[in-house]
Amino acid sequence: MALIPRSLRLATLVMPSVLRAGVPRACRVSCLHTLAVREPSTCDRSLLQQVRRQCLRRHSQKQTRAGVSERVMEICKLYNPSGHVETKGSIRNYSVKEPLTLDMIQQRVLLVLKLYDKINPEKLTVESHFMQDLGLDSLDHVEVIMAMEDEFGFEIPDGDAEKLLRPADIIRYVADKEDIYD
Amino acid sequence: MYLSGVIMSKLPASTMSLKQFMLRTEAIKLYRNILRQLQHLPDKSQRKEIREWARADFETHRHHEDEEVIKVLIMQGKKQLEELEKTIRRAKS
Repeated sequence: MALIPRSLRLATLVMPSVLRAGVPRACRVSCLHTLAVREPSTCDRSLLQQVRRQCLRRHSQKQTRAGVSERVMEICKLYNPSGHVETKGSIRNYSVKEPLTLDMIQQRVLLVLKLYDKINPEKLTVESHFMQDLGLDSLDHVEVIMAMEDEFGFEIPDGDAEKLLRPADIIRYVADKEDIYD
Repeated sequence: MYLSGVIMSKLPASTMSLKQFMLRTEAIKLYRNILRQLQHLPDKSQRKEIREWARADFETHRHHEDEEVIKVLIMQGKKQLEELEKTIRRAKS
């Protein structure tokens, strides 16, 4: 990644096919692009468009969906440090969430805890402490917090997780994160 | 010196030293990272197996008191976590 100069990287944002073009054409486009970005009024837009059209004509690629997705994946791989990119993962629709109230959060938290086999459902109340009342240890606590993350769909960082020692704390934390104030 | 002696005796006997506390936190973080990696694994029954195996490993070494032994075990655990990560990546690709 470092071998590709910054200008080329910028150019690939504009036009992914530039990557295949080799350096000289890219520099031309990228210089013009940088110029256009920095001083839009002074740059000769027509020249930039001509150069772009030239590049497109030379490759004579049809914009197929496969071609576009291939180019997008190339760029993503370059920008992704671990180099591990998925096109199809499990899809979770976050744009639509079920309506959450405090009561519902409480029910869901208690349900998850009841389903956990190391907890005795009779002893479980909202205020019962995991370690002292329910007899869980710290590894069990980690598992409980992971189950909560799964249930509500967001990650709970380590620092916050170690403070959540009762169901009431978890309910309050989830309500804070989801901005529920009733 | 006498004053600090008096204050120290007011803490409960089960209080850990800072080093012990940090090591404990390291171990808990390791367990959490293992569980998080397992979320990426597509097969649910395998997930359960590996989770139980990891938990059993942690339980067998629960009793250690010596700092050095605990550190070595945590390093081993981290190496195993890396191996797990690589295997999961390969399994998914």
